[in-house]
Amino acid sequence: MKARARAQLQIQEMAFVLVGLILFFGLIMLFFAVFQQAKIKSLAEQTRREEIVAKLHSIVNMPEFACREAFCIDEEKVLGFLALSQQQKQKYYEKFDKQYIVLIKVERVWPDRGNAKCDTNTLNCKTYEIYNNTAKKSSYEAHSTFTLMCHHTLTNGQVAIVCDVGKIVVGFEVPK
Amino acid sequence: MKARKKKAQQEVFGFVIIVLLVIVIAIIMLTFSLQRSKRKPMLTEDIKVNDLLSAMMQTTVLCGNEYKKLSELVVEAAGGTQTCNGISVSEIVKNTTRDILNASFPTLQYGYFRGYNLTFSNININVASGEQSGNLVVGYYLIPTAPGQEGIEAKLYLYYASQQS
Repeated sequence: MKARARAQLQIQEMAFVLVGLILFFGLIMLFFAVFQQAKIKSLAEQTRREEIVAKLHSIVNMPEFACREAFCIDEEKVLGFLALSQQQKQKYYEKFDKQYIVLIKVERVWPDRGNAKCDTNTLNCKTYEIYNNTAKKSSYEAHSTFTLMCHHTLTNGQVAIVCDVGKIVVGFEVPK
Repeated sequence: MKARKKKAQQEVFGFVIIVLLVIVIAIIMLTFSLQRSKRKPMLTEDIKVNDLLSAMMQTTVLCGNEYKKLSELVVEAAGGTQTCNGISVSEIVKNTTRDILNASFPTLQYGYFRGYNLTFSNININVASGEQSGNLVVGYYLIPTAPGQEGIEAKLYLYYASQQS
């Protein structure tokens, strides 16, 4: 009788140890899962940023905006783009939409030439708004990088290329 | 007596194992939290600083009757006694780069970027502002000089806050 009670006690002890072990390994697995999740999240974020940077550069390098200099926006080409008909621009807008782009603008950083929008000429203006669909989108995040903005000017009867420091700002729909 | 001693030894051994396990878990958690707080530079910052330096070096400045790229003025400054509109070329390079950097980072003191330092090899031009410590990204641009000669290295050190503010 006494031996039976002792055996029961030992079985109970073993059961407790087993439960404890399972809990312990479960905890370790949980830590591992959390760690892995954080790693995957940061990797996904890194990949997204790489894509964003690639898109920023590909917009600057679009033949519709790029000048002959490396990584540079041709202001006259941008003005030409802005002067396109709505129907012609729509084709580009559809392409931007497919890439989740809601905003594209180019800002002059230096020198300071006022705050006016550049609609018809390249002088004394700051911003070219190439595409803006932000009113229709609930949330977006904007990313930017620096670029060169060049235009032609007449100095002492000669045509010269003037290049300023600018910034391309691209807004992307926030992924759900 | 012997059995009791053995049981006590077993309990102590079990206790030691538990303590060791707790320490191992604590170390794992500490490593994990330290890795998170040590922020690596984002890819975009790296590219941004290089894009800025490249744009800055190719921007044009009116020198006499003609527009010259800033990189050309840097080469002239390295050459010696050149002047533009009566002002020394190195002074123009210094002032222009400072203006561009200040316009590029208008919220330097309290924004995400905290300070910058622009240096050129072979020329005594150094433009710096804000905090000069902490996390940084470096931009690099090689200005070509005469064939067969070493180019001038422009380096832009950009200091940023450890957390996005």
